[in-house]
Amino acid sequence: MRLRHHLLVYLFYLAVTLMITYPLITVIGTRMIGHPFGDAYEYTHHIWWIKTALQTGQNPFFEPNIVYPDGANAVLLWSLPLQSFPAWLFLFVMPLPLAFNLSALLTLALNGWAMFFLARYLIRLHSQSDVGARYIVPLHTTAPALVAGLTFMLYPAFQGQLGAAHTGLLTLWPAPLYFYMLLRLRDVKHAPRTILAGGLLFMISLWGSELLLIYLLAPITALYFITILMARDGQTFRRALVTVILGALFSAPFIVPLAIDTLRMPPATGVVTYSGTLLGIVSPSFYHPLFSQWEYNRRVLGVDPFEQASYVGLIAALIALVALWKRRAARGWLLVALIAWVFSLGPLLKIYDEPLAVHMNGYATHITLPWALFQNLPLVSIARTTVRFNFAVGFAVAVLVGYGASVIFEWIGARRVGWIVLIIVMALIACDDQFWWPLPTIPGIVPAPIAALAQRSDIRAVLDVPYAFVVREAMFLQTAHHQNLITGQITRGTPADPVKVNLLQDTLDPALLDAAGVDIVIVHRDYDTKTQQLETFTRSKLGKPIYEDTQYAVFQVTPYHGAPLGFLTDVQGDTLYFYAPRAGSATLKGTFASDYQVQVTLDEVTLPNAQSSPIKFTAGYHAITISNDPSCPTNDDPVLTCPPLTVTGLGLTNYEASNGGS
Amino acid sequence: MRRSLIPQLAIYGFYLLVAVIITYPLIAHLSTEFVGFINGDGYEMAHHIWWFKYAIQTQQPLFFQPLSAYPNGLDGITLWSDPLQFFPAWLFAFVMPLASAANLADLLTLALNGWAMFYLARYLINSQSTIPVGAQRTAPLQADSSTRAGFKPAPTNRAITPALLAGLVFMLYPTMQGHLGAGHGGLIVQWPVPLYVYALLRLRERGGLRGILLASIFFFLSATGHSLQVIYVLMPITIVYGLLLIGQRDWIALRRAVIGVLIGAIVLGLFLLPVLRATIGTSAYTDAGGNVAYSDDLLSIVTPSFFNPLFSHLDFTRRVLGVNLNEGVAYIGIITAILSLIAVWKVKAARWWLALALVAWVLALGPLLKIFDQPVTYSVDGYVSYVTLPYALIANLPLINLERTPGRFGFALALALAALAGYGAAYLWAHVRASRAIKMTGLAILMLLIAFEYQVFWPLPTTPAIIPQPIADLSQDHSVRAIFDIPWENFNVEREELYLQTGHQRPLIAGHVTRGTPVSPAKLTLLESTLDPALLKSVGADVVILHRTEVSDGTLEALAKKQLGKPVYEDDLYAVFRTPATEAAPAFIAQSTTVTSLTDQADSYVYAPQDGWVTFQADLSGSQRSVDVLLDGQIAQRLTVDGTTSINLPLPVSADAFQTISLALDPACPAHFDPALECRSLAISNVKISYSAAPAVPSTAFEHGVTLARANLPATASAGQPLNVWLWWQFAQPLDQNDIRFVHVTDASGKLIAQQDNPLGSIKADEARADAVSVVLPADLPPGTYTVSAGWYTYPDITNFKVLSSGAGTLTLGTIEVGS
Repeated sequence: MRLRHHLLVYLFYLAVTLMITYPLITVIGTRMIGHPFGDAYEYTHHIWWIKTALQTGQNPFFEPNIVYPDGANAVLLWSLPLQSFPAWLFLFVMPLPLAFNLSALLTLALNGWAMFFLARYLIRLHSQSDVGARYIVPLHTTAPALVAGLTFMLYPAFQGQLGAAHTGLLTLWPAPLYFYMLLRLRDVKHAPRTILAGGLLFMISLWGSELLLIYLLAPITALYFITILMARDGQTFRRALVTVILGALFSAPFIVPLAIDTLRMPPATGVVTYSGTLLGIVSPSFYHPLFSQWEYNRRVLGVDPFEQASYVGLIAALIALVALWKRRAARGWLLVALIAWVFSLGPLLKIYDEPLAVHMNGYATHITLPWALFQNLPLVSIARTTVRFNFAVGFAVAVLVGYGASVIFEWIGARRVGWIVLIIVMALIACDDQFWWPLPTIPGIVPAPIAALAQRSDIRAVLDVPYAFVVREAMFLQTAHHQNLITGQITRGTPADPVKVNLLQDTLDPALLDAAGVDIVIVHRDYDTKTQQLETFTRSKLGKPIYEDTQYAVFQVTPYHGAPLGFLTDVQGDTLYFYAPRAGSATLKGTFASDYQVQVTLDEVTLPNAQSSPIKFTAGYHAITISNDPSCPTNDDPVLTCPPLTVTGLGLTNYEASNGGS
Repeated sequence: MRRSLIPQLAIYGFYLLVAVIITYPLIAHLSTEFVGFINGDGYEMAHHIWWFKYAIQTQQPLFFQPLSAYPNGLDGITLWSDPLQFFPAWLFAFVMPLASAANLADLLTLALNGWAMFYLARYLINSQSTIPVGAQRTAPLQADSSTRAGFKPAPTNRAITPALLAGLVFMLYPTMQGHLGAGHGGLIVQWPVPLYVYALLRLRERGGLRGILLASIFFFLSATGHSLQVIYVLMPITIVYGLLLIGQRDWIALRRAVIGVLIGAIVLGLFLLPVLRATIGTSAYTDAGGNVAYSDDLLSIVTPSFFNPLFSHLDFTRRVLGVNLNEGVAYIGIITAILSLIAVWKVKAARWWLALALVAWVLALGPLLKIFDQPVTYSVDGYVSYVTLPYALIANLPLINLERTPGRFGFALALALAALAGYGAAYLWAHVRASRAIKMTGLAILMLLIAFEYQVFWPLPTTPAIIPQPIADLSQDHSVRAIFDIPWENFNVEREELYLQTGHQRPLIAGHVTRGTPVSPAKLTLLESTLDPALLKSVGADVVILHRTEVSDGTLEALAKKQLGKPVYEDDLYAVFRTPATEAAPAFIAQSTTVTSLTDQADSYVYAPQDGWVTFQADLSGSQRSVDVLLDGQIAQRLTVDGTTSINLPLPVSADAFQTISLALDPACPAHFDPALECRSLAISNVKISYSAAPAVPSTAFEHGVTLARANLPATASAGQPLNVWLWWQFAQPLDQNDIRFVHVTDASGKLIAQQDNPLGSIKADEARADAVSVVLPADLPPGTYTVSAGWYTYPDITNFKVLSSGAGTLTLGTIEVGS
């Protein structure tokens, strides 16, 4: 195939992308891909920041304007360049929503093309070795490869991620090309060039998300090595090993800083939440018009269809079966798909989005799965979203579909009806795999009055509340108002001190706001659900907003000239947040009733005699938590229950600073 | 292979000698002690061996136990299923003491196990030299031409010593010895298994009717020592072999094997059919539990016995094997492991045996991973769980749920390891450059080492086989109708009483064939807790034997002496009481449950001298918990408790019947869970059971499987007061909320005076309902005779269920007199 043919194929996939993401094309400049709970606002913030940093000569890999006044290390942006590129480049010449959306659309189409490229090679390889002298027509190689590319591009697990705007994760196109290079190692004369290309593609495969190493690269590389080992092809094995080692070395400058950063963070949680469910592979999207009236797919995909999408597709499965039946080479891919699928189910078997609780011989337990063996291994432990092993499933299914389609087109022969069959098959796959209809999008325009804050120089920082829910939206607003944020994040959660932010939000104490540098408070009304309790409280403390619309209420904090910030406490349920201007001690008060022992922790460190002797602490923000000992595990067994803990009158009294103040 | 009998006998003699040595000092007490611990099954086995001989001598049915569960007797059909468990012991028992017969059978069986494995291993090692060139097929589990370069197949006569070693590994494998210590005479009948594998491999080579027949016969025989060997041994071997054939696409061999196995399975199925009927659906078998307790510890394969003098000082062996030595020991052994590694490394065919070993080992680990005899917990994201293993997937499948001891997959592991060791030894034999004598000496030393490290018991535990003469003399006293052994709910007593019966030959009130007595716990508990002579006499218990070593204090003996007088015989072990003669008739007895926190089931027991009703009262407190009230295991009421609920339920009782009233939490609390959690149990208080005699009336069947089994109607009632009617419904078909039960009161003209029409809720087939109906009579009801009738109809179409006998839509319960 010549370059223009490849270009045509790419354009074909781009056209498909526009269709499956409808109505994005109609709002491409004003709205952005993704659900409000997705990561679009976080990613667009990073895209904006890279462009801003480049324009202003700042370090793109440190964000001084979030987590005020400390800023945050943005090594992630270095490690995952394809998460933001080429969007930040586009941003120089187009609005942020358009740059972001266009980048995502081009990437999706590139995924399809890359799988097409690999599948075509695999099918030709097979045809040459198995069919031998029989002549090869385009219908036997190009058409099946087109189907394979489409299957890969549209695989529901990827579309699910699209709904969450995980555009970094969707940068999958280097993986098929990397595997292509591995395959080429067997028969090329100039191995060094192929090894180098393979190593580079290994590195680039991780530029969208480092986790693709675990979820995609590791399974397909393992399959490759097993195949080579079984064929006892020592030379290729050595070449492949060098390629992978080279790839690892190339990747190290990108991955190591991120790994160090990640390992410093507390262990990731959510492994069970973000693991697949047993019925996921047979559960199409409930957003699909054809399947929306079913109930079971809603129960299976639960409240997180973005991650839980793992439908294998009826048409794809049938074509894959043909491949397994007729193509010996396809069977290894079944193994990859099976192992990856079992891993995707995570450490505990889930049915209907909940771990299955069983009583086995009198033991209340869940069903542990093989991933439990690997879960706590170093580095692997950072992978909390095992459901993403469906990326490898999707990869394997796409190859299987390619093989299967090649069998079907061989059956059809060189007749023209084959092209009709091709169109029908692709249409069926597209229809079957379609996950969103319409694709969810979120507003991409910041209200002008908020954007106008950018013109003010008297604002030290902005506090967005309720902070636990609006960190990403706050970051998006920042792309317009350019003011510092008290919160903000690089990924997953804000590194801002939760005690400090809770105290700020719950007290709106003038002295505390002043000490923290908060000059503007923005209430995000969509998340202030408790009868607008937060906004009412904010109004009572800060007066009328300087701007309000249906989504936001912006408050100006009055400059504070009172006494310096003193000892401050805030009780939220079983937790007491407090600020101590100086190191000192205080007495815990309150009544704690439980059938079990009660445990008191200060900043997650257990205090053995907290109720009988004063608690000592350093200056700054702290949290005291009351809990049962042993603490209550996650429990979904209706027969079992956590013993209740009743906390009343929680507080701190008799604060005494170390030097005698109070 | 030479087919002369003498060399084979010599080999067998060798294994017999080994069996005698490893079971020392059994040979010194062959006729006075049984193999096995006192808490093993030795006495039970001895009883059944005795029964076969006794039944043949006295021309009684072999597979019915009239001398147990007096006066009804017990179905002994499970004895039918395991003929090799008792044969040839019962034959020996005709000419020698019972202990000698049982012990000799065990020794002969052990030796036969060794010989059968020797036979298979010799075939595996020799197969290349015995199969004519061109006729051979590459068989999994069998040495083949594709073994690694350098492996020289041993000539026929050179396979003997490695095969001897393989036989020794199989015969002495700790799992085998562990069961010997438990007195599991049937489970150690393993010799048909290697011969079954041999037959399968031969079938692959040659096919033919003879081969198929041979495979079928040994398939069948493999399960005749213990029918569950189908699961523990035949299933893994056959499935792994079948998968390997599929993997190799050897469809011809697969077809032959399937035919052979199918014939064997069909014959075995027909043979086991009566047993299956008796066991499937019997909770004593299907709900026995124990899968975790009787599974192997992860470390058991590297843990030798702590009874072995060499390893007794190792602390970890006790922690791993714990109290599960009999079922949980599966030590591979250092020598066997090394030989197996050599085999896996050097002999390609051996790798299939590794697959079998792995499958068997993983299954032997049971449903939950155990380390140091405790299930391991795993915590992720706040979920605390045990580590479930593949066995959990199959544990509840039909038939497999009959077994509760995954550790017994160790038998299949033993077979695989023995084959691997044989291959390894053969490889060494072929490659060590030394004279034949040195090689033989070397392998002999290895065998000695294997025997030494495998030794599970030293000395072998034995159990006395002597019955005190006064107890044996009871056999001459035909005035003794039955004997009641106490404490009845005791594992050792349950077995000892069976053994004592081989001496006194009198019927037992309890007694069992396997696992536990099926006699009503209500009967046994009330008899034991009262030792009331009138009650004992009423059930035929003329003698009571107290097993002194099984009672923790003197309470039971004091009660026995108080109620029954001085024992007629006593020694350190037993006190034998005669039930004193009495003219008194037994009175109503009720023993309410003492459980105050209901986590699973709480049983109360009643005995009624006449037909009548008991009212069962209790206060239950809890939060959103379902609880069932059961009468003799049948659901009589289902209720949900949220807060405090008082129940007051009339339940029918029958004359001279012992009945159990249970409160069962649904679902029950698991026995083991995270200590940070607590189970939502129910508090029980104020349990009261009162009794009133009332004649039983014949039951009446309605349409839709509804039967009114009992009814109680007062003779009189008062106007303005509730009329209390007690009904006991039984249901053969499910009913739902739209099925309405009615009780109508009509006057002489047929006019409806009062009624109560209620659905009884959703009812499953085979449930019952205790229905306490309270119909309020009108305050102005004139005195007179009124008719009370009951029945069912469907709502909303109001179609009555017909009474099957009369075709009427209602059943007249009787009449009441309403006074002025």
